[in-house]
Amino acid sequence: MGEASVSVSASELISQLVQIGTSSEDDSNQRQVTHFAASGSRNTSPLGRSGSRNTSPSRQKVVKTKPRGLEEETVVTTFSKTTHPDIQMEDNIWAMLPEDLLNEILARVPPFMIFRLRSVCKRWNSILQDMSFLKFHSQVPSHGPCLVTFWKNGQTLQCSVFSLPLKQWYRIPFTFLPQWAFCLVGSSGGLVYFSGFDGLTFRTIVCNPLTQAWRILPSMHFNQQRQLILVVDRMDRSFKVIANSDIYGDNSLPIEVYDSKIDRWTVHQIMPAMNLCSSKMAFCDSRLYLETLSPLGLMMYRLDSGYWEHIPAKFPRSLLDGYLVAGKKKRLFLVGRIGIYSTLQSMRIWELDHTKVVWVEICRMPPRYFRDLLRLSAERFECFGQDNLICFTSWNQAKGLLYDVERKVWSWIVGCAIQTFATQVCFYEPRFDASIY
Amino acid sequence: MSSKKMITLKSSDGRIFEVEEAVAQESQTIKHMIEDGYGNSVIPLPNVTGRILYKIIEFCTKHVAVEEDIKQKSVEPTVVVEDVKQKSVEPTVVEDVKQKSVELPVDDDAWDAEPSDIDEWDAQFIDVDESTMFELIVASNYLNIKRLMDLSAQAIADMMKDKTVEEIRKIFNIQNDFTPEEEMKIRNENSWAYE
Repeated sequence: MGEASVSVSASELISQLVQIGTSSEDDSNQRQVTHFAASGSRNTSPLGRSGSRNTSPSRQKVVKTKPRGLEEETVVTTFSKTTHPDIQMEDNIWAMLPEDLLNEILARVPPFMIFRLRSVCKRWNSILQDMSFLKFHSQVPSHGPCLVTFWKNGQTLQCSVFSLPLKQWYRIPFTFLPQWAFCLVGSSGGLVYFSGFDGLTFRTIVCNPLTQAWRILPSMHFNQQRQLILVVDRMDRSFKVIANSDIYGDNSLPIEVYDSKIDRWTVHQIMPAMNLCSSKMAFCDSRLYLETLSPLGLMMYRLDSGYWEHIPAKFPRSLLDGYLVAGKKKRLFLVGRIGIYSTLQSMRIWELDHTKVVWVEICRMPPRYFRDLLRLSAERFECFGQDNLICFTSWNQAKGLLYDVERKVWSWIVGCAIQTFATQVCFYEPRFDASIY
Repeated sequence: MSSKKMITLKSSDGRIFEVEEAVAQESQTIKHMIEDGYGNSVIPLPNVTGRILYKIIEFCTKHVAVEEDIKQKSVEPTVVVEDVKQKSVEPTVVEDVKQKSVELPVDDDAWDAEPSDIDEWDAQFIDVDESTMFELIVASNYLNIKRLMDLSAQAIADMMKDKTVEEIRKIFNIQNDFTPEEEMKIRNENSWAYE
């Protein structure tokens, strides 16, 4: 009698907390307990594997490989969820799944797969189109970042979405795009926006690629080509578009902000020091940051208070390109190359310390990646980012390099050839619930 | 020797498990029972077999231990910005870390989570055969253990990822009740998803 000893390695974990005792009613329980330890499923250790399958749940798994020189193959894919195409799922077990559990599972299926599953049967078709299900689906933590690429040449248009976790291209139709849309501006919170000249009017289009809903926004007060940033507020179920002059435009024009709640553009303050033109901008935490040229500096505009401020953070010396990338919450990054002479060049990332008002270097691109990405020092590259991910694409080589700021991991984007020469790319987070209104 | 309160659980096949109250309360169902005053007697769980209950207790125990660990370290901020040479610079992420404890209706912070051993542990925990996984998701639903539900539902969703429509039908034992024309129509609407 007494306690049965559980001879599994799990005992280390739970022996102090779980005592398998005997029920006073039934003596045979004790035998059951001992048998459990010895037989039953072959593997009772929590760390072992039962079954021949290796099904990893979708956690971000970081697999690090040691550097093997320049010919590195698939280095790391930050978002890889190990997919095993030959997983067998047994029938009969899953057929007995209750409906509410089926919904829980379907809500975690990647958005692109949802479309495919609609043709399984009528019941699934109706579940997967139901608004409350789609909303539920959108609430599951992001299914992983995607990239939208846009290429336009005269009449031909090519717009595709690449899913990083699934390593697959999806040619979501963007047939609704009018001919005049020639610029993929970016994406935020599941909405993608384009701009172009409709005749002489500069216009913006907002769409949700998953639902194929789209809308042309009303015209701005000042008709000119502008730099645009879309900001989605999911809590508020609204979005704003901020327009500012780019380096080719008229600097005396004020900032205009479109608010989806009033469906109108509002004119905001003109930037003081209008003689400076801004080349890059980023938006985070209700603040618009503008990088000004000659001299290189940072201006900040608070959208809520309509108040401009100069941020006197000194830019790094001999900075060659200064990409501003907004991270999560209040984080603002500066990305660019240092060093005029090619052998000494390095790509670095700084973060703005808001309190001390300095740019703090947080990372340098490892030299071998730098060499792989930019074979020639004069080679052009694009840099963009979202949610603490920074992506580098080289113009001439179809390569994409990703830096995860939180995990401090560099990885090549696998399975995707992005030719950024004449192609525009941005991050995209597919969501069913992103509303264009 | 633990001086913590122990809760006694009984599985459907009569196996008895004694667990710490904190571990038992990972299950909202059991938590309500304790609140209703049943914490001092044996709590029967007729829908959960001993084998599965064992695994579930293991899961809850691990997560409770990890939570306690985090709480002890809660004052120390997770420094994401590396002090390279400028050691005197204080990263502003400190505020953000504290904000993480605020409950938001939409879990935007899910991608904020640092990869930790617990993710690895979870991955290995859920790496089980299908019948176990089925029982785990059903039990986690009955016992109302959100974390385990998330983990198992996601694991099953991942298994479905590469399946064709036919395979899905077979697995879930579903009859295709579309006419060929209807099915064709649906496929054509989103033909890009079938490539």
